[in-house]
Amino acid sequence: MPNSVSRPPRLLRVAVAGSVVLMVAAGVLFYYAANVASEKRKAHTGQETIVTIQDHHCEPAAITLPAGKAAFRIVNASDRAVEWEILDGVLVVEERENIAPGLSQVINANLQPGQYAITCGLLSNPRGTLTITATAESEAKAKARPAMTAFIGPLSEYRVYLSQQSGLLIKAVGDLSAAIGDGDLAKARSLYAPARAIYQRIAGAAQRFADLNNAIDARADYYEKREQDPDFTGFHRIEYGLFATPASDAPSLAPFAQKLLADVTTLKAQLLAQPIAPDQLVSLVSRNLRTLADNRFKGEEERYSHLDLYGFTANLEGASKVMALMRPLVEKSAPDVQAKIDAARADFDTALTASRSENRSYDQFTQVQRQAIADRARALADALDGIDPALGLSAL
Amino acid sequence: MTDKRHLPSPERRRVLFGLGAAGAALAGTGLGCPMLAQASENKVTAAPESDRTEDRHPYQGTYQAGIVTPRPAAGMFVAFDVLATDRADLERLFRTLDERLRFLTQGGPVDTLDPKLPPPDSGILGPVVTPDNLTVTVSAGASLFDDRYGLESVKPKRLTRMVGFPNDALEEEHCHGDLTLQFCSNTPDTNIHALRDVIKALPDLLFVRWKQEGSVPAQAPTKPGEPAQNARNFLGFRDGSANPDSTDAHEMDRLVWVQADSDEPAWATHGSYQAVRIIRNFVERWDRTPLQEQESIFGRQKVTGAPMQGGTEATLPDYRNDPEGKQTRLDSHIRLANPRTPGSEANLILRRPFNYSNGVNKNGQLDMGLLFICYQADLEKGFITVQTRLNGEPLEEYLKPTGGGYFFTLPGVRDAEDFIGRSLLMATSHTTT
Amino acid sequence: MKKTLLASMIAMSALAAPAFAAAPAALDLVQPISDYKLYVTEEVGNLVTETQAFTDAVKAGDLATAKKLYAPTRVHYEAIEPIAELFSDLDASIDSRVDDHEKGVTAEDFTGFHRIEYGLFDRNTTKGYEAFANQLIKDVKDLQARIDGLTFPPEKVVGGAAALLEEVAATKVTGEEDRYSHTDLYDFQGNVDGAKKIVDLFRPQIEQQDKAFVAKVDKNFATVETILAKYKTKNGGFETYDKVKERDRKAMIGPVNTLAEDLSTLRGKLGLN
Repeated sequence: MPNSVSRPPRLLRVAVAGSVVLMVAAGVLFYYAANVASEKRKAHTGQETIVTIQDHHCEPAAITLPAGKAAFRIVNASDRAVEWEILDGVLVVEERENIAPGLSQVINANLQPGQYAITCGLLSNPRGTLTITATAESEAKAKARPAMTAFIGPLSEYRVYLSQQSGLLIKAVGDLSAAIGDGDLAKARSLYAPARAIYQRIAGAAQRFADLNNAIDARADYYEKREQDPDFTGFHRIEYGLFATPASDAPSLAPFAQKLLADVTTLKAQLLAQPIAPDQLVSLVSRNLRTLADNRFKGEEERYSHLDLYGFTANLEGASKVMALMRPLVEKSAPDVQAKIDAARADFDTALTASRSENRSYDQFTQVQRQAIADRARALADALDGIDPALGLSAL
Repeated sequence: MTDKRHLPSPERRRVLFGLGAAGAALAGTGLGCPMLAQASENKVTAAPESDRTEDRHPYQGTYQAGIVTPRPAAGMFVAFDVLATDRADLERLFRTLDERLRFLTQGGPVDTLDPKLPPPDSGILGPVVTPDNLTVTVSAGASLFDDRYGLESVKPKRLTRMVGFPNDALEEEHCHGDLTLQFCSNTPDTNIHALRDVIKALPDLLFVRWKQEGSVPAQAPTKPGEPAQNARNFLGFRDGSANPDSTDAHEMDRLVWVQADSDEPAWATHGSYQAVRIIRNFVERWDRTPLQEQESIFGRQKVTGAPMQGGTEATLPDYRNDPEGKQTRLDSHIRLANPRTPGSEANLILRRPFNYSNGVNKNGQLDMGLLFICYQADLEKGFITVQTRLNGEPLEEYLKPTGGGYFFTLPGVRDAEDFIGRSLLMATSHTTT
Repeated sequence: MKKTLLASMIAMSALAAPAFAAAPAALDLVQPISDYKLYVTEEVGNLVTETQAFTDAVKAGDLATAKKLYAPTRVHYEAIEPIAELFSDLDASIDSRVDDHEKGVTAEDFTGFHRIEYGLFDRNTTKGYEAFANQLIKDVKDLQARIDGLTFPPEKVVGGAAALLEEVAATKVTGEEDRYSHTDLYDFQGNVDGAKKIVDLFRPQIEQQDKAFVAKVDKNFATVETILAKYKTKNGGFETYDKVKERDRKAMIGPVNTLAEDLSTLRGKLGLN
């Protein structure tokens, strides 16, 4: 009988050693890159406020800063990926998703005087407070803000769009819920993507309502018990039930479908009740594209159904609506910005169209292909972020 | 028909000249009821007085009067169907008309007949007809050049029957005509007197098709050295700003009078195209429109008549510094009518309108507006081009054209041998008249 | 974000016209304007649906149904007149009256509702009106598409209330709109509904400026509506115009003219041009 303890074959040892070297090298490179990036950011923003996220709380839990540009370094000292948000009442002002455990990310924000809340890792963790105090500069700039009348048209049109899309969403989720209630899972699976697509058109606006949006769109790993967590609801809970669990579990989906229907109905009311300021109209969609570019391109959004491409396409449709509404203003005041936006949009559209024509589910796309989509989404987000400074929309 | 063309008797002449001299000596403002020192009895039936009744314009000239003539306070536009059955009758019409117009525009005593007969004159101006600044301008419609009188071959090239524009609500009974007369004088009564005289003289040759009277509000006399200000229309805006200068003979030759070297028939030389539009104004609605909006619809300031950039009514609008219409909107009335772009000088027209006020509609809203009259050498380059540019203008919300027509104003009556319409007849006659 | 809006509201108030203390902030108009577009979108949707049924009846030769559907269909057009008339070519094609055409009832370009009305109610026939029916349904669908693509200008929305009352004052109080069918009261109600909708959407902003004004406007609307209601029929329609008593007609004219006067100040009160 051969000796049970034997050394791994030589090739494997080399391979392992090699991969360790590679990993270390990658780590060094990553560290270097992150530092360069953060140095760059630091150069622009001055002092950083460091917030450390522990498993069940944040340090510090209360922050006070003067109005204006601020940089927050969020250090994730917990054991899972977390997101971090600044909230103004129910509205998300700034956020960063998917901060990996053990790493930190810098978030830049431009804040007006007021009282804000900050999330702290797991959604069940208590929130911190952020107090922004007025400065002479912030007061002066508020008075000098350009006239708003040019935005009445675009903002009204966007509100009509939100009303119509959220109405369609209610209908689509209603149909989905009915199919689930009837036990017709095949039909429900076919209704999932179209319903998601409608949501994705207005996701940028929906994401302003932190709690409601979590109820509708949160992914499992935001919750302590993941897919089994009782607070895990919404589209992805239904997605999990339709695409990743045995059919016998289907009856348990009905209450989640009904809750989703109730939540999207509330969403419509919220969307109509909450005004959007001119500078937010663009940042809603650019931020939405950025989450695509930074995280969702990985396929973490529709991780059971792998229908991500349709969501991305709908994100672009929603962004295009805002682009169309802003076009007259941007073309007139900053035609070079408009040209960049048009080019970036066309690129992104081409990439998505080509990807859809392959008729494969997203998990079969290569890393290179996914990165290409992400890069184009980022380019469009960057182009759109050129509007605010060009039109002088920012208060500060 | 007896020849009523008497010269006043020496006696009468003295009286008339005396009156004239007295009139010249008085400094009054014409129709504004100046009270003579003696009129102290305040009778209810006392009438307003005028020292302008002897104002007159020559009937003869290269051109007809009433076009570049300064506008007096009262106007009346009358369109007729011509009842003449043949050329002989048409000639009789023109000769009789000429006779009457010579008398009416120069003045003189009226005939007296046996009282058992109807009086030859309506008498509304009294026993002596005073000219009172009367001009009567004779024009022909496209229908006169049909197959009735053999005039087809000499119809002015651009003369057509008016076709409605998109905002029009033309009433057939207030449109077109074989022949038109534009009466202008200091008082409505003078115009009415003249019309009644013409009608009485030509019962078998003229049928009154439609008529519209109008007025121009009196202005304070122009201060020396200052440009004249235009009278206001019923929208409260000065009307006629930026009109071509009617005293500039060169401009009038360029814009208004048909020239000898044009492609029009020879007889039409020294005539002009006349476009008439009865344009109702929705005055109640206008009076409910914010002042700012009224001004941006017109493209002028209401009080002064100045363009939006300021100045006086005579200041030219400055569009070069306003390409996007931020100051004077691109769809404002004056900017559409005359965009002042290279080449648009060819489309200038001489406007000579009156305000009209008729009755009231079933809905209790007033029927008043503009009796628009303009003159140009080329109808297509002039009114038709300008109105086409105005189609769809915001002002249309307050306007409704309901009548009018296109006509050709005959050339002037040259001398005592000439008569109105003679050159037109001669252009197609085989025998000399 | 609340702070941003508050700051901009303060800025806007500082820039507001001197005659009005603190005219509403521009952004406060977004909600009523978009709500108005949602209302107009719904109305024009109804117009398309009902015009389809109406024109189908005309083309099928069903005179009785076509006559029944004529007036209720038009109400949706009359309610959205301020927006519909922004498209003057369609307005002329859909809703011009015979007066607007020199050649009268047989004018080639006299099309739309009133041309068909002439056929149905004066000539008592649908024969020969199929082409006009086809044109009408095509036009209202075109209108729907154009409205969808239109960013509603704020001054046209707010000014729309006055524009609707001008319509009533000019043509509805005298029964000149539907001269063959005499169904003017339907149109009258449509205009009034459309005007009231605009006032209601902007009520909070107007009340902020002038509470007494709103009360006066409400009272005049109520007077008009009470009189109109006297002429309602059992099935929710209206009597023909000839049934309106002279006394009632006169009683409506005063409030209508006063509403036209008052609503003409709406734009100014809200700081719009």
